[in-house]
Amino acid sequence: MAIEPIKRFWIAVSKDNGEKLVSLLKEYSLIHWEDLSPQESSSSSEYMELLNKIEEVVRIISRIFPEKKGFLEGFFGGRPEISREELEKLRKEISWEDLYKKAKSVERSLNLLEEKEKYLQNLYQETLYWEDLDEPLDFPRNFKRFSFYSGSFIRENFERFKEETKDIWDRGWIKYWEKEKEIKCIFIIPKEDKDKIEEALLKCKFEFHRIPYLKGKPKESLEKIKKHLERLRKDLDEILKSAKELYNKKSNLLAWYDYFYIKSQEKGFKNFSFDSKYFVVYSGWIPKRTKEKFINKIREKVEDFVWEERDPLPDEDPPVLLKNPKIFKPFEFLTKLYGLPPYGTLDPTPFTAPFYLLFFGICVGDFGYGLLLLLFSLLVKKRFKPEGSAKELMDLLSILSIPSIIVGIITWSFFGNQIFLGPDGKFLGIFPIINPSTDLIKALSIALSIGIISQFYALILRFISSWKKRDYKSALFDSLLWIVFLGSILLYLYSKLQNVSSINFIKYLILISLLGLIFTQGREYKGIARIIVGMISIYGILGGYGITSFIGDILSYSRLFALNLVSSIFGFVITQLSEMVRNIPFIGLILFSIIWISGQLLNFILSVLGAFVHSTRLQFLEIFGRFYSAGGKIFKSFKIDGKYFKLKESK
Amino acid sequence: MLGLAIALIGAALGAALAAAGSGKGVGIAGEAAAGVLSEKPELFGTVLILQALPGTQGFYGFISAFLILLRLGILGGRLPELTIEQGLLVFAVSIPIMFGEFVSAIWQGRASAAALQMVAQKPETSGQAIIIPALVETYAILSLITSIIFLFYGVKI
Repeated sequence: MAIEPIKRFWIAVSKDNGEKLVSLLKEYSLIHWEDLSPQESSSSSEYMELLNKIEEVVRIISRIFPEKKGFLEGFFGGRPEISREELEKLRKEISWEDLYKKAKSVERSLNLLEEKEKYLQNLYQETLYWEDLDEPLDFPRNFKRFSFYSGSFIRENFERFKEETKDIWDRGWIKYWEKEKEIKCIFIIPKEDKDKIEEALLKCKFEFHRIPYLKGKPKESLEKIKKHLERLRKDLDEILKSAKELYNKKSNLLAWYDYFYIKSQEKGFKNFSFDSKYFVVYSGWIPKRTKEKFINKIREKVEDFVWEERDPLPDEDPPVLLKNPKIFKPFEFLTKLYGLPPYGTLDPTPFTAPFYLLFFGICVGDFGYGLLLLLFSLLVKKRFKPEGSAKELMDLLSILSIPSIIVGIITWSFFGNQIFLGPDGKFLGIFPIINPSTDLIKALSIALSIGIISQFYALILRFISSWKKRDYKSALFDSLLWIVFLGSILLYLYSKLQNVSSINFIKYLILISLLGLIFTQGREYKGIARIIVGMISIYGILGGYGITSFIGDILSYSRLFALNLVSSIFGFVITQLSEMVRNIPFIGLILFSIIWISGQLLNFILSVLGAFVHSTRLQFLEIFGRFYSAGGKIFKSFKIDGKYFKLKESK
Repeated sequence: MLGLAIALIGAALGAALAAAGSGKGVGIAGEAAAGVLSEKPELFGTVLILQALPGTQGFYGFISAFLILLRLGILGGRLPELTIEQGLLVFAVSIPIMFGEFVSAIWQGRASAAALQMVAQKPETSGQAIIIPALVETYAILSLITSIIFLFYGVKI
């Protein structure tokens, strides 16, 4: 329940035993390896090239057959699991080089055909524009003394155009006709009138349309183009059909990818070692508890080796591996999100998990949504087999659904409604509930009380973690004194409110702790500055803590109350809205279910998202902020694994 | 009827301004989101969450308007008689919503956009990135709480 104690080790074997050792070491995943090689380890470029080539084939395949992943699967989907033997078998079924050549040629012809298709479609559109022209289109366009124009005007503009250029037309030739409020025209004018006519064209917003150069009349040409296009599509279909073979071999191809991927990893692993003339040395960090097992395993295979080990040195920064019992394990996700604790300090995971459970439970605070969350997270885990942090998040959500359900029962909220609630305000007439939407002040004070408790808790944790770091001054002055000071003030206020006597003792406690704080909070300063800084620190402008921080932190917990209220009120509103349409004849029931289900789903997502974000904020700022500083290095266990396939552990 | 009108204008303005603020906030975040997605479509999940965060203010506005209608009994189907003073009281309830939700939504949108830039450059920081805009939301929540307390303890009908 803390940070796993680890040891630094070195292992050396003679060169001829090197291969044997490597095949052993790379199987063993619970080790953080250190790079001993003197030169910068170059990434194995020979494999990079191969990997890039295979990736290209994969890209071509997914271009032709785009794979549709479900929304959730894209989020949470893991890799398929496979054993080494199966991977070998998949890989040996095909030759990836053949597939590469094939894919390349498929892509080339695909590109060519698509380009052709685009060109033909363009031509078709251009010809279609001049469909009414009952002439073969292979007439000449370029003349020595004349210029040729084709295009269209809007009707009104055409009148103007004719007006402006009427003196030209006895020298030129024009043909025009009207179609759908557009005047299409073709004309030829002498070159010396070019400037004049182009000015007029610009003024009258002439639109140029090219007449494609084709042998036949437009109608015949259109037919021809259509036939061409059809043939082209057939060719495309052929290619796609042959590409289907590629698609069917995709998993074989991915197996090849992973084969090279694993090879390159193994090569990279070998680069970790320090090679002398006769020896190979590897070094890394290993958890204390698995060390013996590991050594025994090596002893079985390699006869002769040297093992050296030691505890981490004080000025070293060893990698951090958290170790927590199963129920707290999912909360490591949050600790990793904030940053790991440095080695040798306190792992906050098990200490803050109960509060996180409480926060999240209150924020969602609904029996229905809690149940939905549980089902959702279990379903995702079963259906998509998520990996890595996606799996950790799902584990966390499964656990978090339980306090949501409990709070949902205590405040009796089921999808924002309070079914089975008796007139006496008791659930099923037996179970008294806290109702945040009517007992506003009560609910708010519960939220603030949680804030006070968790603040004291955080200060106690600060005391413990400072003590563990052997920073006794900080433990006493920055934690204990504050606990006494704030605690006695609260006690004093409470006894005043309740009219309890014997408050003199508390008064002295306040005074002593106050004086203590004034004298110690500015301890980096000397003389009178020390007292002044100490006094300002009480208020909280200077220094890490103060009364204002305390009050601000506690008020921040009011969000628990607000989020709880928002999720239940919004659920209630949705039920009200859907009730409104229920009595519409025929479609009433359908509308009712659509509005209710989609609305509740929306509220479910919003509540869970809000609960996650705000509980995390409370933990990170209000709790972690008081005692915890991150800065640990991640323990990177080296595991040889595929990119597309997950290798099963070999026995 | 003037009292009731003032009350309803207050409720409506609250919901409207909150929705307007959220619209703008989500829009600001959306511009950044589209930029990030064009480069890194695999970050869709995180990006979606970051873009949705400034949207909650709109819901808070809606909920406060709904609670006002509930408190006035309008949802029960009757139109209450309010004096002008009572109308103004209800109007006052909505003031934290009008300002708090409207302004915080826009700024949360900008914080989200900044967080999105952070995620684009370092996808592994997506956890921290979600917390940044959530800090702004604190004040939206405080506004809502203020309004709710005002509504149930400040307004006498």
